[in-house]
Amino acid sequence: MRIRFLTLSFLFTVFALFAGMANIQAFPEKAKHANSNTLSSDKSFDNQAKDSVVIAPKSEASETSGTLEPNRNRGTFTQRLFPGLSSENLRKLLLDWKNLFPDPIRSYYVAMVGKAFFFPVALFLMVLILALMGNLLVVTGILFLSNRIMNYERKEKVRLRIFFEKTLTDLMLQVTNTQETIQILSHPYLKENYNLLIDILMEFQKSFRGDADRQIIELYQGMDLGQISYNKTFAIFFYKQIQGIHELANMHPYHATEMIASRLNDPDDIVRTESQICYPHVNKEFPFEFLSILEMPFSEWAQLNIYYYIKIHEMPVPSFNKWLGSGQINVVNFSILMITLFQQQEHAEQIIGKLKVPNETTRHLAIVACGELHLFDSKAVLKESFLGETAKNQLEITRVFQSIGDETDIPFLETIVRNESIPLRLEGCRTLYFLGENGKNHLERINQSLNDILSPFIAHIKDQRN
Amino acid sequence: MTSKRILVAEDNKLIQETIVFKLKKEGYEVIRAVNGKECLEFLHSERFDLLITDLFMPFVNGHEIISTVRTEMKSNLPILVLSAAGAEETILKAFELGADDYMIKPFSLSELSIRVRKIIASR
Amino acid sequence: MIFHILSTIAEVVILVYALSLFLVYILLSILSGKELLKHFYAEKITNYDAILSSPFAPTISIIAPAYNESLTIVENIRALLSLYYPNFEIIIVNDGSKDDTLQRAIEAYEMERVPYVIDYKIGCKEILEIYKSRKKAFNNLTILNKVNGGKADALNAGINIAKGQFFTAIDVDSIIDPYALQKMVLPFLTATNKRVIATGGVIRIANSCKIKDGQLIEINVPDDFLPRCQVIEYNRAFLLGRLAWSRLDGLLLISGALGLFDKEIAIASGGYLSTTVGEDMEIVVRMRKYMANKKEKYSVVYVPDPLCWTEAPSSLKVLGSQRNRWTRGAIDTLFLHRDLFFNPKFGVMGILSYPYWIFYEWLAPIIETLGILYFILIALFGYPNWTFFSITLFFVYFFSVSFSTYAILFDHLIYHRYTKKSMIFKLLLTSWLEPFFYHPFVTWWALRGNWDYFIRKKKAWGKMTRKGFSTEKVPAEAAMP
Repeated sequence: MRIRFLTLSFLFTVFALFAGMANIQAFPEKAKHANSNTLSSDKSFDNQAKDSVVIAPKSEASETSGTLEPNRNRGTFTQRLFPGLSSENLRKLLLDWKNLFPDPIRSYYVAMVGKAFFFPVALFLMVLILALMGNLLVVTGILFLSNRIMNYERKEKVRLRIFFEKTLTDLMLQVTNTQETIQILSHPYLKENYNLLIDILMEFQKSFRGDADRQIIELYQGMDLGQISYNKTFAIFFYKQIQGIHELANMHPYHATEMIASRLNDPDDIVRTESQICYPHVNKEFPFEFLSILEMPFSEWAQLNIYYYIKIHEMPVPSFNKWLGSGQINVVNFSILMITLFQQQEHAEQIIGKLKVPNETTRHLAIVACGELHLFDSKAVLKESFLGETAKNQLEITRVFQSIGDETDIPFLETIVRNESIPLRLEGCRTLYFLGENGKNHLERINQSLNDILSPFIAHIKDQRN
Repeated sequence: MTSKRILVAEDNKLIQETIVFKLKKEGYEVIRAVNGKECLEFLHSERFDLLITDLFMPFVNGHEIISTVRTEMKSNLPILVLSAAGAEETILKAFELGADDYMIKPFSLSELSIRVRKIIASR
Repeated sequence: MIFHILSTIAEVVILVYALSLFLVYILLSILSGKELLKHFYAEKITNYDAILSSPFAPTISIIAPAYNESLTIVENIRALLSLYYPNFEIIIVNDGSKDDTLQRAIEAYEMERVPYVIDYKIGCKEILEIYKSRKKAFNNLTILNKVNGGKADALNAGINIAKGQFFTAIDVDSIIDPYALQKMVLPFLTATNKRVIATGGVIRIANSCKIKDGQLIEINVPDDFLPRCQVIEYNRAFLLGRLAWSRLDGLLLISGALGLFDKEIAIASGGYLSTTVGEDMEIVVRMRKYMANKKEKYSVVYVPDPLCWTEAPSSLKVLGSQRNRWTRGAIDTLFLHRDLFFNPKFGVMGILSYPYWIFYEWLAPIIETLGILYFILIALFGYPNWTFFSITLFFVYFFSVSFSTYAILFDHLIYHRYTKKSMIFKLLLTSWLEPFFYHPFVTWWALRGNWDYFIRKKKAWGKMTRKGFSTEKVPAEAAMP
């Protein structure tokens, strides 16, 4: 409360200062009348104002606008605040410049200075208006020009793209060989468009593998396109750096290894993520070694892309248990996920150990792993921890018993079915129902004992679409 | 002997063109469809020996196309799915709906060629 | 004397307010420009195919409330089924339609009623039936039939049966980009030290665009003046405003037409508030407060890609009704959460975003109108300085036009959707005319919104007749509490 009061007071003070400094009177005529009503009796104020006020002499005022009167208040206050400032001198300087203008314009210039100078804000606004008008013209010009350029480039790019794609398709379908393709693509005119060629090579690599992949890499290396990608990694703009890393990692691993390794813990999220994603590309023998040296977070996006790469290229994976003790929680979670996906059942004990860690997500992943890997030894721990678990994990534990449960678990499942929570009841019914004949019968018995309260739940879970 | 007719439903132009060239080179007659709606129009109006289809396409997705071929048209047209979607559920759904084969992108053109030959030969 | 002091204060307030408003707009534009560029280049290197294959891909529930959508419901659902995402479900919530929306959907997709136990995690009007398809190809489609309760209530009902980790709230007649789910889920995956609780994308105007079977075929600038003004307005708001707020982590609003939310947090926050017409803004604010109160690091992110195309009102009556509702919704949210005001406990939201909304969104039309009235008074009873007034007017006009032109430029350079010179010319001309022929209406509707809220105590949506992509339809009506 106190901070809010202080913040508001501070803002109000700034506002008041600003307002005081601006001290604008847009309608001085009313000020004149107000002054004549309220200040005429205060002769000392009038005299003070006359001495220090920054107004134009009456002859010049009438030259500019016979109906305007000086703003006494503004001059006095401004002078008090900025004793050195003399708007009279500034006005004189501006009027001196009238000789720069030809005769017809000169009088208008003087009139403008008189009016605008009288109201500094007006001068300021007029300058801004001119700036805005100029800016508008420029921006409009850029808009039309850029549209023309972009349309032209688009057409040109389409034409080039069709050519590059046709050439590469001929290579992949063995209409031409690598040498012939290099010859075709080495035409001087095309050299300016090698960035587009690299983009298309990357697209081809994304879509095709096997022989096509090999041919693309051969072509890339044969044309020494790696130099272009390498130069990009030293660009000022982050996106070009990443583009370079990406290209090198996919096409020319040796160049990229050191560069990628050095950026695995980069403070920039995007550069770091991209380096982590590209690491398996350049270190096919030990694609996950970087997990041991990670000090910065390892995002789900990086994990997703790495898994994608490993799967697409059918790369061998290590035992992920060595990172289950990592200090980085997302490395631990990733390892549990990988153990589950790659069915590394030999790490059962360590997985079961993760059922009691403080982190909820880690426990959740461990629970899922117990079900996927059919870790029957985990049942006791799961039952024990059930009551102290979060609602989400309780649901998961119930689900897991569909894979690892048997008749001995029926009493445990019965307690879940009798729970007040609807999701738990549903999941409990589902698990019991699909446990086998005994499970089904027991469920019916419980239902009868509860006066058929569970009938809607049983109907719900019986429909596999729910 | 007339060439076997293959319908390729793929909205990615690059992949579509490459597949079409490859299959034409091997002596097949290849028809292109750029979206799911066009694919269904071709299927209803012409006869084919094989359908190669992506799953994620404009207007009608691949799963619905497979389902339409099997249940509405009651056709046993061989269907090969070629998709970037490699999630287990997506693959299983395609097979349950009636797909005969499934290839995940990025894919090998040689492998595609062999699978096409095998499927057509088996019918 | 008193009049003199009061008038000085009035003039100072108006001038300081105007100058500070322009300064804020400039700062937001600069920040937005930087973010837009960064996003544009980051997009070039993002491999979305990895999501399609991944067991990491989060499950998403698309919740689409529908009310009297009989003529378009079948094609709308078809468009949703074609989205490019591996693991998502669609929940169409029939909010007590008076026409045959439900019957048409049931027939088209061979739906049948299934036994279902509802867990009312969030309170909502009674859910009557749940329908699932007999065809396996549509096994991710669910239709929920409920008692009419309004959009917020329908969304809550959808959340109650949603299975996904995230849910997206959409307008069923909007056209969603096929890659929308992938793009909106990305911030959730790339976040490292903060939990992303909601994301939103750019909404574009689909008027005069060629649409076939729920898919966008050709993009055009709207032929009518009103929708064209809205194109510029949306550009300004999305590209020069929201992106900056997202960067500052002060985003308070995700459009009701398309947003992706963390279901767990939404439920923990209490779901949508059905007693307000600004439910889209209100839920974001409440989710943010929930996280702030839990002292957990979080963010609300904005994806500057055009992911949703919607039909903008083309008549003054309908547009007025919409803007009236937006004003009442915003006021509702601001007043409901007035404890945010300059409250450092809520971080940027309390110190910057909320005060911005109070002073520069809510009060802007009021101060503008008071300024005009003040000048009229002076003109009638005093001695107005026409020169100064003209200069100020010119300044405001040229600033507004510049701002709109920059919005058009940003949009053009990044997305290049309007490719013909005639399209650009139409937009520029509209931006020159907008301050004269459109802005006054917007101000008037905002004032009416204030009047309706404070004086008439109006809470309902009001009647809106909208020309759909192919036909007339009447949107959701809120039940009065």
